[in-house]
Amino acid sequence: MKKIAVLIIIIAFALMSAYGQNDSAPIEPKCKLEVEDVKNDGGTKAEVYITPQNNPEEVDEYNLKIFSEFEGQKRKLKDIKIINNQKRIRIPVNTDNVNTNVIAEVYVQQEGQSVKINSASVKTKGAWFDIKLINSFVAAIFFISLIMYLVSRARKGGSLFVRKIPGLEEIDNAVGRATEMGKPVFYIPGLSTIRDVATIASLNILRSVGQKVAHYATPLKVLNRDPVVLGVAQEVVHEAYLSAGRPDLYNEDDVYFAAGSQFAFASVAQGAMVREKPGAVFLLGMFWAESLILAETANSVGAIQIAGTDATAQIPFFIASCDYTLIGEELYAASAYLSRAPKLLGTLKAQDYFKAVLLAVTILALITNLIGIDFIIDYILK
Amino acid sequence: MKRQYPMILTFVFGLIGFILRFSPILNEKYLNDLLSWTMAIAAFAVVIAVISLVKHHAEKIRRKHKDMIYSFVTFIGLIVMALVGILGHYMPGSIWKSIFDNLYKYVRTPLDATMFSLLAFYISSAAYRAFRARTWHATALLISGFIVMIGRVAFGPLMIFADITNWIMLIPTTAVMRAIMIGVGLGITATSIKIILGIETSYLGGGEK
Repeated sequence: MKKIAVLIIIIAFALMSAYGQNDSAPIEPKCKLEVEDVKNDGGTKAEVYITPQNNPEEVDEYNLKIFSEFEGQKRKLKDIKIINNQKRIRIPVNTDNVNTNVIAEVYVQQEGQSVKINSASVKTKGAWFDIKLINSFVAAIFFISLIMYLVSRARKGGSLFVRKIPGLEEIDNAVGRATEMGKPVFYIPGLSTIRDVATIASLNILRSVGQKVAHYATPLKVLNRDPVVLGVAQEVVHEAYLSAGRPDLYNEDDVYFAAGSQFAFASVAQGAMVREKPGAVFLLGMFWAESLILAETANSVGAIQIAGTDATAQIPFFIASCDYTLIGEELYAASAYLSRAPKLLGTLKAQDYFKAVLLAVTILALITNLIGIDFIIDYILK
Repeated sequence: MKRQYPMILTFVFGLIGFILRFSPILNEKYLNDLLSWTMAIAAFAVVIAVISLVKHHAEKIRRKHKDMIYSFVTFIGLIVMALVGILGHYMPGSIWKSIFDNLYKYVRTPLDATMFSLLAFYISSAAYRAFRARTWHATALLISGFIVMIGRVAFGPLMIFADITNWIMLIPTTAVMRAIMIGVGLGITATSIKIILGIETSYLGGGEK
């Protein structure tokens, strides 16, 4: 009987204790919410940070809703369940417009109802100048100033030495050889679009080749892959024939669209080379995997080949299979080299001087790094 | 004026491109518009390309050129793919769609793959010529090429070649590639500046003025 009484008392205490717990103050769901505008952007990005401040036993998940508000129109961008692991979570937000109000709201489930516990907002702002690009901006202004100075110096008659580039020296010989053999000259200005600077550099060389070809009255075939490049190439060749005093030799059909697809183009160019057996082939511009197909086919028909590209992956193929290769920047130097126009030679010298400046900065950074001063190399690598 | 208008347009749009690069807010607002213009121009240029292609091959057929058979093949390919493609696009559930898919999958793709596979043979012939040890450059190329080839498939005691290969690819090759890339970067920048400022006008045709 005594034991039963003790048991009843224990159960009674246990029940009272449980009742007491339920009766204590309700849990208050809390979280830290931050909404920040992304600096140095176009004014459409923001970041939302949420940090849960309850134990996972108290609140297991939060519901984060992100809205954008622009010109009175509110639109839901995100609705995310955040599992409470008590860590700060970052959510990037992209809006459609500049100066948009980004609103974040956090909800939790309480007694079957979604209750808002926190909210924050920020207005996205665009930067007029990206401060992270200050290095590039200063370098660009310095480079432009250097070009302007050297161009004006060259115009005044200052002598500028330019080293010999064998690939460009051989253009005359290649055209001459094709003329002697009574064979056409093939020119491919790469497979890229006009937006590629290598294509523009190639079209600049095409002008010189066109003038030489017109001078010798040798047929010139220009195969194109891009329709816009085709139009420009036709105009360049036409003007080159005009300036050489042989507009009668220009045939618009010789500068033609071969194919739009990469390997279809390679197939057309390969077939044309095998059938027409050109005396000289110029492969100048941007090339991809088809570079070796074109170069090897030209080699197999006995043509003298002058190639040039800035695609580092294709340079070894051209070196292996072509007679002369313009490596990287030589392609861009070609126009100045061939025309010998002082103002163009001035830009070539500017490139050389700027390269010397870069080299000096690199060596300085290396030396200071070796003696334990890291700020220069850190700034460069930043 | 024929050259001045393009030069003025080049300067204005070149300057806009430069400003957009450094100004995020303007980039956000106007870059898509500029890209849309480029796409619109490219779409018009396709007509020029088709006219050029048709003229080139029609001329061959008209002159009864000995290789005119290829021009017939081009016309058949052009017309059949365009027709079947258009019919298939507007009648997605029809036989035309499956004919187009089959032509693409079982004719065009294998033809592309065939052209690509030719590279294997061309690499061999180019390597043969490049590796003939006639100069010290070619000898250096031959030795490093041999080491890299062995290193790529090395096993057991040959693993030393794998280590040497890694060194060749990581140190001298990367150094040379970076040197070329710096030159290319400056070349691209200088060419762009020359074009924007009207120093370089060769791409407009004619001589230097």
